[in-house]
Amino acid sequence: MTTPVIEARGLVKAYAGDRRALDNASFTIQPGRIVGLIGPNGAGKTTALKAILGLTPFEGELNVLGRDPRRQRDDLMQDVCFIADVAVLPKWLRVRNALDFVAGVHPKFKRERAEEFLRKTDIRLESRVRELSRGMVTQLHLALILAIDARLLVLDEPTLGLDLLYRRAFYDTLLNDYFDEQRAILVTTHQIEEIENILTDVMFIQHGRIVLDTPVEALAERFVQLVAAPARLADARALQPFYEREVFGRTALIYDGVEPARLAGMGELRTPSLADLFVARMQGAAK
Amino acid sequence: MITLMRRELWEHRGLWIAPLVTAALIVLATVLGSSQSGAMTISMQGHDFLQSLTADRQTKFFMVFVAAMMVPQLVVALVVVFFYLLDSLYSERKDRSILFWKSMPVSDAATVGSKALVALVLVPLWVWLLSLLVSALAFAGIAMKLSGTPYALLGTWHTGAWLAVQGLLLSNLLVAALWYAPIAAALLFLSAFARRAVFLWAMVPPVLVMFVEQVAFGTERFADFLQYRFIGFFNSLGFLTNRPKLEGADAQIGMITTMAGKLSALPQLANVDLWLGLAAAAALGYGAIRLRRYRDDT
Repeated sequence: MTTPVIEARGLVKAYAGDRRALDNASFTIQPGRIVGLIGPNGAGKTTALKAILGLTPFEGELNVLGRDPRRQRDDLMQDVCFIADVAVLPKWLRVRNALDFVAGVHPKFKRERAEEFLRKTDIRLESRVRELSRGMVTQLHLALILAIDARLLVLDEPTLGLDLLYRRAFYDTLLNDYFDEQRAILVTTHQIEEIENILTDVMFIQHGRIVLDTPVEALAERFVQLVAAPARLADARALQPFYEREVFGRTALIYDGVEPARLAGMGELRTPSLADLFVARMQGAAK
Repeated sequence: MITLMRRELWEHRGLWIAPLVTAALIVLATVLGSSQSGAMTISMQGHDFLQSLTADRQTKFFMVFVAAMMVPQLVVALVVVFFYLLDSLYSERKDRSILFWKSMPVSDAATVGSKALVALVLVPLWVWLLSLLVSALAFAGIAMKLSGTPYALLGTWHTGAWLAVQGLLLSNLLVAALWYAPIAAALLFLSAFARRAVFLWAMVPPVLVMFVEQVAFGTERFADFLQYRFIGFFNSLGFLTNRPKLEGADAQIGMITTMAGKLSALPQLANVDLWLGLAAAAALGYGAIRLRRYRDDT
């Protein structure tokens, strides 16, 4: 049994006037996993990340790499890396000084590794962040992160505003040069389709609650989508799909925990994509 | 801590450039400036002046001159440091770079501390180092012009006195750092506190308090308090006290030589207000650290 990287029990973050960004959220993240935390705007994704990073006070039990982010944040940050989104590297910072700074404050930073990565890009050491394109700023941030021997990487919309080439390269680099069995990555993004293939686990968050928490392998066993033959629609509905929608005049239904064999003959069966499932969960639950 | 302080100088290059430029301007002014201007002011006093100028008084004259060379740089540094402190914990939230700084294993106490150290120790030390050079170069410039005039005596260099004054200035800067610590901490606190318009936060409330006090009680205690906190340090050095208009060169030179005797700020360490101020600085600094720790508006 490995020690979890993150263990959260009953996280609550309440704001004035009964609004809760986190409402009794519980989850566990093991090493060697890439977890997507997915939810609509305002569902509590960023608040959850901030709680993990010790950036915001909250109630509940939270253990990150054996430490409480509320009380042991400075120590914890030696083993945690964080990319918020591309905008957070200060514009006045020179690339060379960014390396100097991290080398000066982070005991687990290997400067040579960051420089090696930067050599493969068009980024020059004398440039300032304001002179770099958004994609290059992300590359620079990635170079800094890759050179830190951390155990948890937290990504909050890391590829926001980047073009497809940079987005693809970003995740490829993470998988090839960073990720291994000892490390965990927690990522939030709206671009679900793009990270679907790299995730090992997904968590859906809605109104501050975790409404789905499952390994990606288990999705195919648990969820099934049926595009119903019109004649069998009533039968299909009788098996209690939790979501249905019209596609090109036909009805697509999504089931949770229904044996595919029972749906046989009612239409086309397939595993719903993560995006389908997300929409189904969010809208289905709202009904 | 060294890295954190270097970071401050990368961001706020004005902290070291502005005093450097001022220093260069002072030297330039004394070397290139109208060669008579210095001598002119003195010669208005005429013969009278030269008679009153004994060797001992000349040394003291020299000391005051050396000390005064630092004043323009100090004023510039104060202005730069004021804006630096107000900006330091504010703009990092505004451009959200705080999320990057906070992704590093650096405590909020170390971050806030590094900014206070830059403002209260690093910049004053830099000004002092510059003034070593400036006072020597500027004096050389003036001495060159005075040589051959009746005032050549004023151009005499005193290595011992020069070292003594520089030592005094260094100790004064350290005492001043203690005296101004509460103001620096208050600026840091505001910088961490303001959600927007940090400059207005620094200016409007004090003015408002002064205004209300004036209207409600007809008093100016708060204004006096601020004035004391801001320039009380120099008052006791004999720079800004309301000096009577003195007649005659003898009295005027006498005043300057008295100033030479008051150059040290060390006696201020006995002022209980300095230590009360430090306690306030500690409280405000702690407040700034707490605010940076949990302020969540990015």
